[in-house]
Amino acid sequence: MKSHRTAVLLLAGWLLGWLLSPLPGPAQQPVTDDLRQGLAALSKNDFVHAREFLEKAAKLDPQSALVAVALAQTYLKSGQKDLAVQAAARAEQLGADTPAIQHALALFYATTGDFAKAAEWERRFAATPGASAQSAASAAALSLDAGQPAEAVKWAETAVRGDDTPDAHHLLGQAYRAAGRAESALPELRRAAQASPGQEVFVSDFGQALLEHGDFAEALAVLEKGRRQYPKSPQIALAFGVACYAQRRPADSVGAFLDVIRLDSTIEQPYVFLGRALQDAGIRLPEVVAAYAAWEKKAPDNYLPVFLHAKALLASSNPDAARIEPELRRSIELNGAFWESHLELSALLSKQGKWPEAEHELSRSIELNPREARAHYDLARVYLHLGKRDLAHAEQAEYDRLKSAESGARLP
Amino acid sequence: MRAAILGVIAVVTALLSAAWWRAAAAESPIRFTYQPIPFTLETSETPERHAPETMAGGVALFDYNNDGYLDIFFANGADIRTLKKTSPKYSNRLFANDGKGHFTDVTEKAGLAGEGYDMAAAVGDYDNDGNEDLFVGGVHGNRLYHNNGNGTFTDVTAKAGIGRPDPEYGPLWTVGGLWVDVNNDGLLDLFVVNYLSWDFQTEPHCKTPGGLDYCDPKFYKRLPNQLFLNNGDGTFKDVSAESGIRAHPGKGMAAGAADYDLDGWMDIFVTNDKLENFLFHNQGGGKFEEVAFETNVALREDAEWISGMGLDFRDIDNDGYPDIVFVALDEETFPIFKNTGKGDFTEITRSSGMAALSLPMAGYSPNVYDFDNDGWKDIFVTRGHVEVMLPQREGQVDQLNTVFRNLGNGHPGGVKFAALTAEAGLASEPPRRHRGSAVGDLNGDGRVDVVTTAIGAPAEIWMNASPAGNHWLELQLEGTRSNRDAIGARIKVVTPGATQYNHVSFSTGYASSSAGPVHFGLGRDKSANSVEIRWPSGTVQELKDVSGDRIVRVREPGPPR
Repeated sequence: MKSHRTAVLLLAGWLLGWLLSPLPGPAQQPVTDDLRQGLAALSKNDFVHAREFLEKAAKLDPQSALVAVALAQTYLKSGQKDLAVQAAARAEQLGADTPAIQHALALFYATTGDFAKAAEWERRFAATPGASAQSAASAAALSLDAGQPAEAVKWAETAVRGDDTPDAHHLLGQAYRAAGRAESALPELRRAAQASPGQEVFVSDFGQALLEHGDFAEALAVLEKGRRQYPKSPQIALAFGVACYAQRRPADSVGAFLDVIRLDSTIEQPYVFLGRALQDAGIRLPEVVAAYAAWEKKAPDNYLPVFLHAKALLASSNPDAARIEPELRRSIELNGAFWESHLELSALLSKQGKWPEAEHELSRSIELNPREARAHYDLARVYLHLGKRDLAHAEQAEYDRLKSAESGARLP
Repeated sequence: MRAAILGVIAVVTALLSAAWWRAAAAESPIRFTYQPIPFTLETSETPERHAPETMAGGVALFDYNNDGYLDIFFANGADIRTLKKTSPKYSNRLFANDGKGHFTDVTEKAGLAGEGYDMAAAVGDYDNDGNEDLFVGGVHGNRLYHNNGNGTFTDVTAKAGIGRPDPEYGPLWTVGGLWVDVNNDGLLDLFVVNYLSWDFQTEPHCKTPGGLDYCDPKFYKRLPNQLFLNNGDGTFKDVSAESGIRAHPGKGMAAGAADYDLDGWMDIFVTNDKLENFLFHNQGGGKFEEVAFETNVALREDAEWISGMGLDFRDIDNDGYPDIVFVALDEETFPIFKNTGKGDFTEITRSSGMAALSLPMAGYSPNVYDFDNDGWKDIFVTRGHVEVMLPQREGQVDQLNTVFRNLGNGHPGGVKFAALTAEAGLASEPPRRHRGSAVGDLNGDGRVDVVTTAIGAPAEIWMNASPAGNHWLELQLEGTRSNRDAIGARIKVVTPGATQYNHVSFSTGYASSSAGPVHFGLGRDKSANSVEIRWPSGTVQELKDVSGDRIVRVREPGPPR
C-alpha cells in the first residue's frame, strides 16, 4: 500500500493547483493574495512564510475551509500537531460537503497517519457526482491503509470499472487479498504483473499472494523471473527465499535470504528465516554466522541478533561451547522472556553434563512457552539423568501429547 | 536446421555427461558398475495412490542351493484392489547365481512365486537343517517357505502358525522380518515389523496441488510388531504380548538386531515412521523392555518426529559397540547414533558430516558394509521419495543411490563420511524411486556387491568395481550349540593395522535380507593376527594368523545343541 500512499499528491501542491485551476463546486472559496502566497510558500516548504500569509488569510476570511485546511497542513509541517488538528477540525466544520475540502482533508489525515479518517474523507470525495476513477482508487488505497478491506474492495472495483489499467487491477487484487479473497485476488494481481512486468511492486505482490495461497510452484516461477529482472529488490529476494523453502530448495532459500541481507541489512525477516533454516546452510554457514555477527555488532542491545548468532554457531558440525554459552547467556540478559534462548542454552548445558543447570533453563523455557514439545522431551531426558524417573515420564507424556496434537495425528 | 543443431547439442551433452561420470568413477575409492537383471518391481500403482504401492520392494541375497554363490530373491507386489498376484508380472522371483555374474530365473521350480502383495524378505535357517529358509512379509498376509534342500521350497505358513490375522487389529501389513535367537536356545525366532493399519476401501485420499499423493502416516493407526518364538518342531508361538513387544504399537519400517550392551542377549531396534523409534532391550527369559528414550535413540537431538525408514545396527567406528544408522526423507537427514559403550547412544549425525550430506536426500535402505575393504564400514543407501507429487525438481522423487564412504575415526568428533554418487558410478542408471537393497559378494572377488529395487523399474545389480588393492576376509559361521546361521555371533578381527568388529545379522536395510558371510576389509594387511568369535551360546573361539582374501568357514566348537 505504500506505493499508493506515496502516490498521493502533496496537499499544498494540490491545493495550489486547485486554486489556479478551480474545480467545479458549489462553495468555491474566495481567493485572496494571502492564501495564494501562503500556499506557494507551503509548496516550497517555507513554513514560516506560509504560516504568516495563511494566518492573515484566516483573519480576513475566518469562514474559509480552504484556508483552514491549508493552515492545518502548515502547522503539521511545522511540527505543531495540536494546532494542525484544531485547524483540520475547523476545516471539517466549514467544508464538510465541499469535495475539494474532503479531498484535502483526506490528504491531510493521510499525512498524519490517521488513515481511517483519511479514507473516510476520500470516500466522501469519491462519492460525489462526477468524481474520477482516480479518486475511487485513492479511496480504495486509503481504505486498505486503514485496514478496512471491505471498503477497499468496493472502491477498487469502482476504480477498475472506470479505469481498466494495470494499476487499478493491482489495487483491486491487493484489496481482495486483504479481504482474504485469494481466489479473486490472484487473477487481478496476475493481470497487473503480466500487463506491467516493469513494475517491481506488481511482481513482488503477485509472488507474495501466490505464496500466501500456497501456489508455491507458480510463486517460485514468478519470483525467479522477478529476481532476474530486479536483482536489487530485497522484497522479491525475500519472497523468492520463502518460495524456495516451500518448494524444497533449501540451499537456494538460504542463498536468497543472504542476498536480502546484502541488499538491505535493516530488514529483519531474512535473519529470522535463516534462523529456522540453519541446517540447510551447508557450506554457506560461515556467511550466515558472519551476517549475524554483523547484525549483533550493529544492534548490541537487541537479544535477537545475539541469540541467532549463537544458534548459527551451534549449527556447525563441532560447536564451540565455550564461545556459544556466553552468547546465549547474554541473549537471556537482554531478554529473559525469550523461551528459545533458554532452550538452546539448556541443550548446550546438557551436552556438557550440567544437568541441574540444564533443568533450570528448560523449566524457564517451558514456563515461557509450554507448548514447545522439544523442551518437554529435553527436560524428560534431563530428569532421567537426574534420577527423577517419574518426572521424566510425565514430561515424555506431555511431549507425546503435544506432538500428536501438532501433527493432527489420530492415534489409537 | 535448428532441430539438427539441437540434436547435436543433446548428443554432445549426453556424451560429456557420460564421460564425466566415468571419469569421476575411475578416481573414486568406491565404485560400482551396473549389471541388469530381468526383474521389475510391480506395485500396481494407481492414480488414487494407495499406500502399499509406494512401500514395496524387499530383496534378499542368500545361497538357497548351497553351491557357494549368493542367489537373489525379489519380493513383488500384486493387484492393489485384491492383494492377489493376478498377473505373472507380480510374481516374486528367485534368480540362481552361477558365480560368474549370470543369473537364472528359478522361481517356478523353487515354488516361490507367491500369492499376495509381498514386501519383505527375511532369510534364516529356522530348523537348523543347513538350508536357508525364507520369510516373506506383505500386506495382510505373510508366508514362511521351508527350504527343502533340493532347490524347492514348501509353504509352511499354516503349520508354523505365523500368518494369522491379529484378533484386535485384524490383518496386518508387514514390511520387515528379522530372524534372531532371542532366548539363546539355538533356534532362530522371528520378529515381524508391521507398518500401519491399512484398508483399501477406507483409506484416506490425500490431495496436493499436483494431484492425489500418498498420505502422511498420521492418517493411519499404529500396529503392534510381533515376536514368534521357535518351538523347534516347525511351529512358532506368538509371544508378542508376554515378551513386552505388543505393548508398543508403532508404525514400524525396519528392525535390526545387535547386542548393544554386550550382555549376551540380542536387542532389537525398530524405526517408526513419524514416531519415536523403539529399542527393545532383551532382558533374557524372553522379556523385552522398550528403552529408546532412556538410551537416547527414540528421536534425533531436535526431538522431531521424522520418517524413520530402513536401518542397520552395526559398529561403524570399530570400538566394539554396535551403532545405529537409519535413513529418512529429505530435510530429515540420515541419523547416526553412536553407542557410547555405557548403555546409551549419542547422536553424531552432524559431527560425522552425515547431516549436511544427507539433508537433501530421501533414503530407504541403508547397508553398513566395507565396500572399499579399507577396514571402515561404509553406508550404501538406496534413495527415492515416498511421495510422487513433489515439486518437479530433478532428482527429488526419483533419486540416485549414494554410498557414504567412512573416512575413519581420526577426525574431530569421531568418524566422518563423504558422499559418493556419480563418483561411485551410481549415476550410470537414471534416478529412480529406489527401495530395498541387499549386499553380498556375488562374484567371489572379495568386494561386496549390492542389489537394489525401485518402484516400477528394473532392479539394479551394482557390482563392486572398487580398486582391488586392499585385502579382505569373510567368515562363514556355522553354529552347533548356537543357531546354525550363527545370528548374534560377535566377531573381532585384529590385524597389524587395526581392530574391527561385526556381528552376524542378516537384517540390514529396508524389507531386505543379506545372508552372506560376514565381510571384513583388511586394508593393506594380508592376514589377521586373530579372529575372536563370541557365539550366541556363550562359547568364545579364537583363530590365530588367519590369512586373508578368502572365505573362512568356522564351525562352532563343543557339543551340539
